[in-house]
Amino acid sequence: MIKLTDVSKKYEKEMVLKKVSLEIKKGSIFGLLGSNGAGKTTLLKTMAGIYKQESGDLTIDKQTVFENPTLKQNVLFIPDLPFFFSQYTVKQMAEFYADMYKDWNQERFDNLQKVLDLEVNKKVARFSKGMQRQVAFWLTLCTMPEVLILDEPFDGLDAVIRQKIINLIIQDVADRNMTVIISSHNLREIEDICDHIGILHKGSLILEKDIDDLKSDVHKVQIAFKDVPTSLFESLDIVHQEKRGSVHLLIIRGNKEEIDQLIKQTNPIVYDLLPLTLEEIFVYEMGGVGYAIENILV
Amino acid sequence: MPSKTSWFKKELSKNDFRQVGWIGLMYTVVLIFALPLNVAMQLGQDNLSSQIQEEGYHLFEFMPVIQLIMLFTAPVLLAVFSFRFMQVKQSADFMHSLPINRILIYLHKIGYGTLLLILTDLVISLILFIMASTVDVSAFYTISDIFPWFGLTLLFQLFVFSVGTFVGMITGLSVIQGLFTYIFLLLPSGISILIFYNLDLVLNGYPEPYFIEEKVMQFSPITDSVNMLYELNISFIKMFIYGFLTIVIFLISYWLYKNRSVEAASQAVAFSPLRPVFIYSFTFCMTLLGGLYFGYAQKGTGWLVFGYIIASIIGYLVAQMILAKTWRVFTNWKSYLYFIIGFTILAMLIVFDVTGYQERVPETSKVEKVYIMDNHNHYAFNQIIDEMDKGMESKEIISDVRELHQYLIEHGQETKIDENSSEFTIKYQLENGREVIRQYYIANNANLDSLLKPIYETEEYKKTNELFTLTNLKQMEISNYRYGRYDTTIYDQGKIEQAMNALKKDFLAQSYEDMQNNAKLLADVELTTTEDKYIYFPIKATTTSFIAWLKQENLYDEVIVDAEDIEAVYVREFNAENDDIYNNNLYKNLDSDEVVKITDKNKITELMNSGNGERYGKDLVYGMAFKVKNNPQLQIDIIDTDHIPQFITDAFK
Repeated sequence: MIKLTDVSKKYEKEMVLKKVSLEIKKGSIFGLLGSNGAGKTTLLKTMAGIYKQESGDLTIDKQTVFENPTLKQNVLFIPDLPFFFSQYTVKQMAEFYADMYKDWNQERFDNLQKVLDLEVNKKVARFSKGMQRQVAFWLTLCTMPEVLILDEPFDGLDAVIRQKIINLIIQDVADRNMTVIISSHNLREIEDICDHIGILHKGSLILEKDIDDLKSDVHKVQIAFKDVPTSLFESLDIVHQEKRGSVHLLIIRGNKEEIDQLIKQTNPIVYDLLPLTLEEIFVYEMGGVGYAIENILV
Repeated sequence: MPSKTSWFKKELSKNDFRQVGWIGLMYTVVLIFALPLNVAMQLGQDNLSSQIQEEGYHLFEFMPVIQLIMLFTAPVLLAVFSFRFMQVKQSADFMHSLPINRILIYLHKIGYGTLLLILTDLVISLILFIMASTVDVSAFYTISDIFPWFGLTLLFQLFVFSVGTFVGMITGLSVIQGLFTYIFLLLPSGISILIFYNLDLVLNGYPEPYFIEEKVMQFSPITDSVNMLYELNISFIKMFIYGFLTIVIFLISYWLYKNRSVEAASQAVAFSPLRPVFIYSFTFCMTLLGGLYFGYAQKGTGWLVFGYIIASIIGYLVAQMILAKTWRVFTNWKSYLYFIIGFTILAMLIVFDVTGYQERVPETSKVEKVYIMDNHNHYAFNQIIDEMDKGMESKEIISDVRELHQYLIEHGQETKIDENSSEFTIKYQLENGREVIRQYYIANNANLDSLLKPIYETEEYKKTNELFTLTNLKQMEISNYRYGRYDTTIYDQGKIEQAMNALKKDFLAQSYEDMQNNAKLLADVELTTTEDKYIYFPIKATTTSFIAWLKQENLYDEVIVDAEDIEAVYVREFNAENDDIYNNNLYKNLDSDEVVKITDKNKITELMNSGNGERYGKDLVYGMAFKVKNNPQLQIDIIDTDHIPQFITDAFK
């Protein structure tokens, strides 16, 4: 389990992270959302033990990460622009990883080569950007990480490669209960793979939720009456309400069965209870924060 | 989960090799050219005997410039490239995300660098050793020369490598790391020199920095190594200091690395608390440099202040530019304001002399010894204050010197006024072991006569002269080139001693007026020691004992030209700018009214003593052509109208 308690980080004189507290359960895929400059990369690098927080605690399985080689054996970080030693071939990089990480799985490396179909003896710098990212995943996954931290992993990748990489990640999560943290500035990019979502805005974590909870918690209702029962609206936890002709559109928070029951009692002419897309949930939940959220939802 | 910690990471070392191996290779190749190949080439030459080196020749003397350059570039490059990984954001992130802690990375980097330097020096040493054991290279070096070369080269390189590493820790830019390594290596000397010269500009009595310059040069490894390696003059204490410093600097560097944040990559100064330190010290050094430049180039307080202000602004802006990595830094002046206020206060404290530096004259009772030197006596005494091991101890002299010092405090100047100004340096050796050194210039020392006479005429003062302190004399040359070439050199130790005794006797008998009298010299005596040190001594008419000795040795006629040796003097009037004044033929036309011939011995003596060679700034001068016995060539001297004897003026009427 990854646990952050009041983690703050300064960069020069600017506070980049402000008392971020967060828990990520083992085996989950956590999506970290935020617009550019929200502090996502800083948070990830702090989790990876590259940066040291100014204050607060950050532990993975109750151990601090910073300067902890034993823990770092299993905590792997892939930056938005993966790094390779200049002039190194994939094979040389693999040798480097094999020497660094004791859980290095050569068999997997050889197998993945067939899947990814990349040349091992070619210098990594010669590969295209997308291929370099595949190489990074290739090398990283062969270290058999328990925690995988990915900074904008899909930025600029085409759909085929993206799917390939997602499959690899999901397979490891399923097989080995790997924990994954993925940052993105785009909700749609990650909503289908994450089970938890956190939104970072100007250095503060303004929301952190289980996606299933979110989805079962908020509902969209289209409803029409002969006589509008005002008492109904009062008894519901309405987040948003608008009227199109005689049809009321309600976004309601609460238990699905309870809402269903309450509405049915009023005998509406038209009644539809629909699930919300994540995007809609965010728009309604986070309306106040405005700009930042709109950008995430692009 | 068992943790397996290994201190050696094979792949990390491989990576080091790929990053910095080329430096070792390059360095080895250059050294092979400078040393073994160089020796081999000289061995192959036909005229081997001319190549044979004198005794004491050592390995640093083969292409010393190349060796020194390599000594100070290879380790710096090594430090820059070894720690390049943490100056680039991506690689810094990567390296610090690996499951290794910083001590391991650090040890790999400095360990590999050290190994590379050892290997390089070892390869060269081995080649030299093999050459020495197979071919006769004894004309150039012996096997016993190899180890000192290896040891000293390695010691210096490791020291420079440690400084490079240290600088790498406090900056996040490789360029700055390279550049500032050299600045740091020069800093101790540089800053001392800047401070000394600036104090010299504003403090009256502050001694010329050249007294300290030589000592200051030892503060910087770059300037120091030139002396140490080339002269091979290095003490064990110094070697120990360098070795010790290397270890300390490596330890400090590790501490810095441990506390350095990864995001410092690509920042000019890696630790934010050091940023103001950097700005202020950089500005301070530039300010002093500006003061030095304008203060010495353009004498005067106005220029000095201008130099301080303009250089402080430039220094401040450059420091800001380095930090911000942009040239557009013209908006932030707050720190500059603090600096200029601080600098002004410091300058005021010094100028208004809060420590009483300018007024300080040590109490007679506290002075153990006193030394005095003036530039007028340089020619005669050739003293350098550092070399004067004999100070004066008597209380009378000390109090006389104090009186002179008081006068100089009131009337002396800090800088040279003109060519005629005198320079005085006074040094007190105090009983508590401290020294007080002051130096003054004074425009006209006529007023000083009454102060100097009681000092200069004492036997104790005279005995501080090199004439009494110099030993191991090799030769004595007596020369007089005024009327042709008359000289002789004596090598006989017994005779030199006799002559020295005569000179000492004359010198002790000399009055203050005699010393100051710049009348025509009869000859020069130049004494040379076995260590090739020279002193000069002027022979005047008052140097009677020496003249008597010359006569006794039958050398008088050989070197001294007096009126008896002159057959005649021809005098002719000239326009001062006329270069024909040295034309012998113009004096031979006796029929003309323009030339006067003098044969009277008394008049000749008078002319010999009055010629002053001065013609610049005058309208009319007289050329005097001396006809010396047995010399067909006329010897020309010049005399101006102010000094010409009456009988000449009368003759031209």
